[in-house]
Amino acid sequence: MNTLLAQLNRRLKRRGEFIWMERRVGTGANGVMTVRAKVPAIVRALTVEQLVGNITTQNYFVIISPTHLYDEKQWPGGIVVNAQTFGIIPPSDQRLPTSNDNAYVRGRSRAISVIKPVFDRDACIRIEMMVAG
Amino acid sequence: MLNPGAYTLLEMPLTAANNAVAMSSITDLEGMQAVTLEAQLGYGSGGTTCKVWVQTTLDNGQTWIDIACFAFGAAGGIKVVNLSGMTPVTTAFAPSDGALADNTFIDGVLGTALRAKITSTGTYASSGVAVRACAR
Repeated sequence: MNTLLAQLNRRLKRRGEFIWMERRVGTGANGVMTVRAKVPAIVRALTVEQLVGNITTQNYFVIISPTHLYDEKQWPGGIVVNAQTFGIIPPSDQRLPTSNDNAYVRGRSRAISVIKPVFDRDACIRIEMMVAG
Repeated sequence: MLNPGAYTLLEMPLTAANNAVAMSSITDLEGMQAVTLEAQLGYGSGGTTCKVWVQTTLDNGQTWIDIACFAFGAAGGIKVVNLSGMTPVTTAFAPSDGALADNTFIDGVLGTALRAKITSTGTYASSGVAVRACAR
């Protein structure tokens, strides 16, 4: 395992707080299906330096580990695998959280506004998110 | 088992027809002794039939074996079954892949992974389907 990822996992195991990741698909009153996963996270309120533009103190900065989300919880479950298009850019990984997903952080469902997966030596070592609401 | 818990085998909006579309598998289920399966069709309108097979594998995904078939029509609903890997199966059977009869279940065969395969006919609208597994 990547050293940086192992360090994050140890930190989350000792100090992390649990959040729920939620993905909703479908439309209509009955057609919406949800997938949830409970994972440990580092949750930080934003510092003064980060409060720029439209970013307010209602936002939280969240870091989660791909080990917990993908390897342990296997979120978001079975998906239709996109066929390789033989282009230079492969299909995006559907497992990564998107701005259509929600996170239950500190007692509330919050929209994910920014997602930044961080890679090191071709491995995803952490997922950084900004959640608001 | 090493990784007991709730997993989602399938979750998708149901719109155009699907012809034996297999989902990616839920893996690392070695030692699974039982699994409770829940299939849910959230119905809006339209559509004709929707079948979801839950499959397991004994050869690391080279071949898939139907262990459950949940069949729905033009109505919503939730169906739940529980399968045990400890049930003796002493009469050999020919495994099927996406051919198990409607609302039929095979007890006693649980491999190292699970996946769902869906076939639907007709065009559903504002509908969704999900299959969840609680493995232990």
